Amino acid sequence: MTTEHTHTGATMLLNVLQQHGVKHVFGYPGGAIMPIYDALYDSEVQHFLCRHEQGAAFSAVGYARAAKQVGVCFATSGPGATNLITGLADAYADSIPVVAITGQVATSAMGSDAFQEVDIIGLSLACTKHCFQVRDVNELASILHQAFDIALSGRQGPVLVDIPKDIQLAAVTKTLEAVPTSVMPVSNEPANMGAALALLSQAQKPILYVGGGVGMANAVPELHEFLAQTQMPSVSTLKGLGTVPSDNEYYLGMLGMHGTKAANLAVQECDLLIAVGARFDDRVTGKLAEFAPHAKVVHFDIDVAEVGKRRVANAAVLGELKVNLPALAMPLSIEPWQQKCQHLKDSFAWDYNHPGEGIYAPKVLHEISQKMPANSVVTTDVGQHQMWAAQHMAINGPENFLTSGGLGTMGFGLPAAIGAQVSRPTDTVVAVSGDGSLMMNVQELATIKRFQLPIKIVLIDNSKLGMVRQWQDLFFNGRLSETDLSDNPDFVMLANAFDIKAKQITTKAEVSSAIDEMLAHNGPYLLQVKIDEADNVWPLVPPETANDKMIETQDKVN
Amino acid sequence: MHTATPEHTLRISAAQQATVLERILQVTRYRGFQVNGINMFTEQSSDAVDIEMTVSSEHPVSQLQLQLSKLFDIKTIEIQDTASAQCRA
Repeated sequence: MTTEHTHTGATMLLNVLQQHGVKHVFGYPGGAIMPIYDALYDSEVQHFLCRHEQGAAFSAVGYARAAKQVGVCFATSGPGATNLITGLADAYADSIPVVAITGQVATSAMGSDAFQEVDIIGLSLACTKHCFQVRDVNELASILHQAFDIALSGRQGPVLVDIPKDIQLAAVTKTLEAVPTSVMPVSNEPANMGAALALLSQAQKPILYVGGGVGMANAVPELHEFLAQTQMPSVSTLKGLGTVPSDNEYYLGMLGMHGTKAANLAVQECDLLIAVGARFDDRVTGKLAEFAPHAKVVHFDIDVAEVGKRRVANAAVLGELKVNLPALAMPLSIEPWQQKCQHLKDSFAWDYNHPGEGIYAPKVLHEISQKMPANSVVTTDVGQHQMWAAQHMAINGPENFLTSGGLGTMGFGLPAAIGAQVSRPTDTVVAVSGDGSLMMNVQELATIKRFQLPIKIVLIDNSKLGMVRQWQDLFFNGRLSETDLSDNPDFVMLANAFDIKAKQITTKAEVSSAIDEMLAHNGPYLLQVKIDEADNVWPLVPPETANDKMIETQDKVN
Repeated sequence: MHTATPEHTLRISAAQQATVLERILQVTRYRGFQVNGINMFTEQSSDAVDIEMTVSSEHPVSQLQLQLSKLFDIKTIEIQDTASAQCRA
């Protein structure tokens, strides 16, 4: 089916976006993308003006993750395009489908060091799944279709399409094509399923190691069914949080550097580790040579390059998790192991009794997650508050916990929350941030104001770059180099300047009512939670150390 | 005793795109391989290019092959027998 319209490159772009179901885009205009912004003026595609292109990229990431569809961002050439790069690198590290559209100087000026010209193709090679530069307006639609296809197929990721200004203005002489129907096929290779079945049937102490790939593969129901059939203990990566219900009898929580003691001890003892959509990241494994030392490994993944990259798999099952995981399910006779894991879970459960009148951030975050509506989205920035959120917030579904896992990007949380709120306007969105991270993209408070997005910002404020300060205390002889933020702005006044209601709390007696007030407020709200600057995240597995050699309190360090 | 870094030759068939060589070299460098030699052949009648690249690294060459295979423009990659290359090293 074709449509007979006269298009320019710019109007063609917007029509193709609509063909792919795009209703919302995030961006910032500028000289080399003006024809596209002119076309936007008449378009049904709604544009959200961010206040920095990095904010636009992270909003697209948040949108993609919360809505489970492609996020789209726009930027102009040169500095606009380079400002997207961190967001694209974040999307690449966490396998998030984003299509970034950049304006470029006219083809006649390219290569001449023109004003606001930068080789964005060269710059994006290392942080996109693929990138295109359009040189013929009649190829634009086809390239955009490919961009969406690549972003969504196999292991998902960001794609950049660079469009010179003259191409945006040029008349399209081809008719608008229908969207190609096929996403690139995934080759299922269940050849090793027999070996995987044999390993599982022989295992006495199996653990399911759940990564972000499960949610990306839309295989959460299949994973729940697998756990129901096997009754197998499970652990999660940071990006996998929410995949296994937090009340699952044998779920032990997050593993790795700031994982639960139960999760890390169980993994170190297991005899079979079934990795599903996980990649043995260094923050998960600790000292790789001593990670799960007694375990054989079954590795389910869609990306063959992840198999054997950091840990050799005894059986690798490639392809669609939705298809392959159910084929492994079987009832198991592992009662002693189940009891052992339950004992670990009970023995090392979190203790929220905290001395003194000061506020204990883990308890605040735990209480928020207990009180927020069931399908709420939580975003985080990066640092201590991120790890406390991962440890202490009960999350329902991986699309409801948006955190920068692979790249660890401070400044992610606020714009990601904007994307999430735009994609799911009726759901509560809670952005947990730190006083260091919030300032990284603080300009996006203006975006929240402009669109009156009812995001609840929980600012865990210790007037420090807390995680770096913690490491300086632990591993750099307490030499606190450039981690003091005691000259922060007045955050309540700052929020108020953007017409955002705000409140500061300093004692634990204020916590419950402040959470209630924040969640009940019909609009954006910033809750500044002042905590002790010396508070640390525990447990902690020191770098290049086995996961069973974790530090649990400051007392054991000194 | 000096041990030569293992050397391997890859034969790559790829789409004839302006960026294809940059992409291959970027992935090769990032994944810890040194390029010791490279030849590229194009045919005007074809939309493909053939690239022969000799690399060395302590990392398994199969890992580089898998990473390069993920590039959108790559069609096929074969690892050539390395016996002669190892003799040269």
